Amino acid sequence: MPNHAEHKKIIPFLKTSVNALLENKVILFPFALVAFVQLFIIEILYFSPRYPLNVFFGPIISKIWSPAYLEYPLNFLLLPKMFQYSQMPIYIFVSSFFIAVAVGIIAAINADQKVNIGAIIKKTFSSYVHLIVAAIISFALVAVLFKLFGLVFTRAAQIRSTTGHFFMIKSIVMGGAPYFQLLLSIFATTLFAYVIPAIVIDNKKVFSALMVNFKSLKGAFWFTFFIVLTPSLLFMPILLLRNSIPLDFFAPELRLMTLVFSVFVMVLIDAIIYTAVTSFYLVKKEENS
Amino acid sequence: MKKTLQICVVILVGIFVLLTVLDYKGEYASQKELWKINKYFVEIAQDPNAAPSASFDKAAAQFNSYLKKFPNSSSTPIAHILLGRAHLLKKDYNKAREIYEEIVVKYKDRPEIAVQAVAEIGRSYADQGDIDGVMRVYDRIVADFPLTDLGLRTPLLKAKYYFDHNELQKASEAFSSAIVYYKQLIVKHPDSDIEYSALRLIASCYLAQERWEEAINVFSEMLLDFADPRYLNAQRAQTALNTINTISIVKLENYDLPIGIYQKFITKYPEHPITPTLEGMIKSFEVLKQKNVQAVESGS
Repeated sequence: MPNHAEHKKIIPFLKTSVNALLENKVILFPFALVAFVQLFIIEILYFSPRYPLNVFFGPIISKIWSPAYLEYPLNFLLLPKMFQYSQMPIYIFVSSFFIAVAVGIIAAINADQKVNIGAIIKKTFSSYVHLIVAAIISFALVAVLFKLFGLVFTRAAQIRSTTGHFFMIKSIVMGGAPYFQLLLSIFATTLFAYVIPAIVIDNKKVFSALMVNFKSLKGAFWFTFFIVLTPSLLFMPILLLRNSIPLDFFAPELRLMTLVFSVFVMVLIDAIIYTAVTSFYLVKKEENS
Repeated sequence: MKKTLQICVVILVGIFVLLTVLDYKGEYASQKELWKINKYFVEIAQDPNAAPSASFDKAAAQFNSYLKKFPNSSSTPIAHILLGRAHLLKKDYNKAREIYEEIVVKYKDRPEIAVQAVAEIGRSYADQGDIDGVMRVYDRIVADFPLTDLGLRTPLLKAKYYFDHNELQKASEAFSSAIVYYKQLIVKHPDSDIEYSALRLIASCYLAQERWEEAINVFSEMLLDFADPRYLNAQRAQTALNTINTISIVKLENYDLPIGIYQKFITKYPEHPITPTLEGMIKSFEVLKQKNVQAVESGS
């Protein structure tokens, strides 16, 4: 793991974290389980318009959206939306827990202890309530930021100019919406980056973990921000692909494939971010003690 | 760890295979297959003259194999119609008509599909420039499927067909016959969806014949008798009001006519969602009327 003196250098720090991931593949295990849950959800949603799952999902989809979305290929328009809705409970109840398990594994490796996944899962489970509350707070911030961006988006949509500065603002806000949303998510992740390490490594309760988190961020906000931002850039090609595929291009199934691919990319990004963030947290902790 | 991951993969693959097999010949599978065949068909149909004849044979073969694989899917009638269209675009008119006649027999209990097949027969005659054939098909639609959406529109379409082919005398007669026909329908089906559709079609006939005042009277009848939002939704209300306003101002130069209609409506439906719009329109017409009077006075 890198020492504190190196921490100002973002790229070498991330490189060391990636190497740590490659040398200790066990860190990837909890992230693989998150990927499994996500893929399972995608699978269920993908088959939701078909028999026998349509017996349950058919009336729900018809009522909330339209029966047309139960038909091929329109179901592929709804699939990413339904998957997006499933992300809140998955993050709060599943991802946060497995990220915490990964943090526990990294801490054990850092302390040169033998990694006992069963024991780490058991120990992490004792902090499950705190992890859930922390995830809810983090998700709430994302929701508020998205809501605020939604207001800006609505205002931009009302601009009638077809040339000039106002038109440029409208084009940037509307065309760049997915990228702005990604940036807001990165900001929110940065703001709560050290909460899970504090809960898992220092056995803190959620509110003291928040205090520790903000203390850790002090003087290291931009470093943490770029640690989160750099791997997140891997998601840009997915956003580009997702926003540029017409439904009848090649095959509608391409949307499903993009979604599956995005799960793997997201999991990889999370693995790099939390390995780096936890390493930094541990380095800082060692220096303070 | 490895074992857990292997179990996860087996679960994902197992569920995928199971759910795929369970719906192997289901609705979704049929829609997917038809979409793929149709994608090819749409490509060659974009320019039928440029596409080789064999490509239509290939499309027809695909539709035939689809019909064998999915004889009872909800998409089957569409595939059947498209099969006929493949022959139509290949200019194999007799074969196309034969297929459409099969559809009429097969779906005699589903008039909305059968009438579409008959309409395709009409299209085949139109492609051949056979006006008599087209007219026979129009008459057949009116006789056999009078209350379907297409059946209702057919007398008007017949008149428009003559009009588009510059047979103005016949067009005028067909518009007048259509009006008589729709009025008879109203007598047979009062206070129904059919009456509402018939009124709309009568209005279209009057507009085509430039019988402006009669057209406005029909629109007025529609507003006053079919104010229920099921009929008078926002879009239809806007169309009706725009037509009344435009004809009154541009063609009749009569501002009292719309004012009278809107006042009647407001009295009858004071709480209707379009009432505030009508109140605004009445004010605008009053201003127009005032300006017009002043212009005439200053001119004299």
